Amino acid sequence: MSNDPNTSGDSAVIDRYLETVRDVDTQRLARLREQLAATPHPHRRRRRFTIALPSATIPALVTAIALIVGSVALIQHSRNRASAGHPGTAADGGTILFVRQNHWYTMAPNGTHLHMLLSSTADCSDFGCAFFSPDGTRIMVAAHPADRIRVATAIIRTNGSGYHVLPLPDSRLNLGPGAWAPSGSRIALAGWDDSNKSRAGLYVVNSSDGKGLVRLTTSPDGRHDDPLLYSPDGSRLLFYHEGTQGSSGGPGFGGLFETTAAGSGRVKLNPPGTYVTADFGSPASWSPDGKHIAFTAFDDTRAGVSAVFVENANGSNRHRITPWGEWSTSARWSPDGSRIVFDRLAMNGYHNLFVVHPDGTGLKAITSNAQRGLGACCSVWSPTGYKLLTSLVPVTGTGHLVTMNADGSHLETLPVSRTNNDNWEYAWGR
Amino acid sequence: VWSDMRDPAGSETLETVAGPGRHATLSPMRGDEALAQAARNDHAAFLALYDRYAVRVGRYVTAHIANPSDAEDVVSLVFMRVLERIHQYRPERGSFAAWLFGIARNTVREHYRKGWRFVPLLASHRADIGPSAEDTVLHRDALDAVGLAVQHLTSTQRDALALRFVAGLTYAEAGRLMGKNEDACRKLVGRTIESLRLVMDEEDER
Repeated sequence: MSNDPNTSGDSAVIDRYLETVRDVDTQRLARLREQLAATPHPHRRRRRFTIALPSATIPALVTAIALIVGSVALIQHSRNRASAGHPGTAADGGTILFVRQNHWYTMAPNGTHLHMLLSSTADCSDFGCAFFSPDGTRIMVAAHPADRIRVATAIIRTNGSGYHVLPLPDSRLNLGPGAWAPSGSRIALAGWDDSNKSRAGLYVVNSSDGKGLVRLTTSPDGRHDDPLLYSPDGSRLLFYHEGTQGSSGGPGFGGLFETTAAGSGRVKLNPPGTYVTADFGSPASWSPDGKHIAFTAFDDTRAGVSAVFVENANGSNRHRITPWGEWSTSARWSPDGSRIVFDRLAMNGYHNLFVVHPDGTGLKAITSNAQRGLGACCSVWSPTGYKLLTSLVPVTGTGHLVTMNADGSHLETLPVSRTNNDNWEYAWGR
Repeated sequence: VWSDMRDPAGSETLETVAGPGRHATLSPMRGDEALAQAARNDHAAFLALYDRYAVRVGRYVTAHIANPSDAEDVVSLVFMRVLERIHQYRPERGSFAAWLFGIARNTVREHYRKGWRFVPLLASHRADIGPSAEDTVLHRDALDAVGLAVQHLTSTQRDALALRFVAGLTYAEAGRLMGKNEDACRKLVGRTIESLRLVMDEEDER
C-alpha cells in the first residue's frame, strides 16, 4: 500500500484533503476496545442468520418490552396480554412481525396485543431471518442445531407455541431460512457446508419435520444461493446469488435469479451491468398473478444508482419502469397487482416511498419525510393491500413503525420505537 | 497514537498513518493477514488488529460522516462486524486491509441507506479549527475552500479519495471495492485531485 502522491502538487492537495478528515475521539475508541474485549468470540458462526430461542427462555421479558414501547402502550399491552396470549386481528387484519434489539415480536396492526415471540443471540442486520407462512399461522426463523455451531431452521406458530428446530441431514450441512412454498408444506432453504463449497445451493425440505430433502441448485462458484420468494402458484422460485463483495465480508451485492420448483434452469433476472442487494429484505416480488417480477437493481458503474425493473416470469421482456435514482432497494407488488411500492434516497439523505404502476405510469411520492426529518424504508403491504407498513426514523432519537394508506394518507404510529441502529426487519402476515 | 504502538509480536514499530496535516505513509504492515487468520479463534489477535486499524477506520468513517456521534457508532458497528465475520477472511483473496475497508465502506453506505442525515462536512471542521491568528485564518480559508470542494465531490470521488489516502489501499484494492479496475481508479483519483487543486489555486489567487 504505497502512498502515491503523483507530484509535489498532488501531495499538497492530498495534504489539504487529509486536513478535512477528523480523528474519532480516542477515548471513544478506547471504550470500544473494552467492549470488544468483553465480547465473546464468535468462532465460526455464520454472519447472515440470527439464532433464535423460544421466548420462554428469556427472563427479561418485561424489561425488553419496556424498551420498545411507550408507557401508554405498555399499559395497553398488559391489558391485552391478560386476555389473549397472541396477536389479535384488527384494523386491516393480520399480524405484524418485527425485530427490535435482537428480539422478535408480533402485534396486531392497531398496535395492541404485543407479544415477544423469540429472542436472538445475534444481530440480523444483513438478511431477512423470519418469514410468515402463506397462511400466516407459522414463522420460519434461523436457529442453532444441537451442535450449537451450525445454522438450521426452526418453525414456530405465530402465537408463540410449537417451536421446533428442523433436523439437519448430516454433520456438516447448514440449512438456513428460507422461502415458503404456497402450500406451506415445503420450504426452500439456503444450504452450505463450510468444509465443502460445492455443497452450496438451494435445498427444499418438509416444513413439518425437515425431512424429504431435495437439492434444487448447485452454485457454480461456491457462493451462497439464498431463497427469496416462490411464485404464487409455486412453480418458480426467486433466489439471490451472493456476489463477490458479500463473500469477502461486506453486505451482499450479487445477482437475482430464478429456477423452477424442481430446480431446473437458472435464469439471471437483473440486467447485465447491474447487481442487486438483499440486505434490506427481498429486492424482488412477484405480481399476484405470477406472470411478472418487479425488482430493484444497481448500476455497476455508478455507486448507489438504482432503478425498478419489471419483467416476465420467464425472464423475458425486461424494462425499467422508474428513472435511475439513488438507493432503491425494495420493490413490492401490491396484492391487487395495480401498484409497486419502492423506496428512494432523497438528496438530503432521507428515503421516501413511492408508488408506480407496473407499466411505469403514475409515479408518485407517498411520503415527504425529507421535510419532516424522517426516513422511510422498505415498506410492506398489508394482506389486503389497503395499507403499508414502514419505519420512519428521525435524525436522532427514536422513530416508530407506522402504517398508512397506500396513498400515504392516514398515517398511524404504532407503539414500537425505532432508531437508526435497528434493522429493517418487519412483515405483515395474514 | 500509532507511533506509540508496538506490533504484538514485538518485532516492528507500526506505521504512522494519516493524521491532520500529513498524508498517509501506509506501507504494508507485516503480519496483518497472519493476525487475521489467528483472530478466527483468538480474541487477542482480533484486538491486535483493532489496535492497528481503529484510528484509520475512524478517519475513513469521518471522511464520509461528519456527525461525530454517528461516526463513532458506525466505527463500533464496523468492528463488531469484523469480529462477527473474521472467519470469512481469506488471505488468498486480498489483503486484510482491503477486506476490512470493504466492510467499513459498506457499513458507511448502509448508514446512509438507513436514512441518517448527511451533515455538511464543514460544520464540524470549523469547530475543530484553532484560534484566530492571522496565519490560522488564512489556513482556515484555504481549508474551507478545499473542504467545501470535498463536500461537493460526488460520492464516488469522495470514496475514491478516502479509500486511497485515508484507508491507504492501493489503487487496485480501492478499485476492486468500487467495482473499477486499477487504471480507472487511478484516473478517477487523479481527476478528483485535479478538481481540488483548481479550488486551491483559485483561493491562492485571491
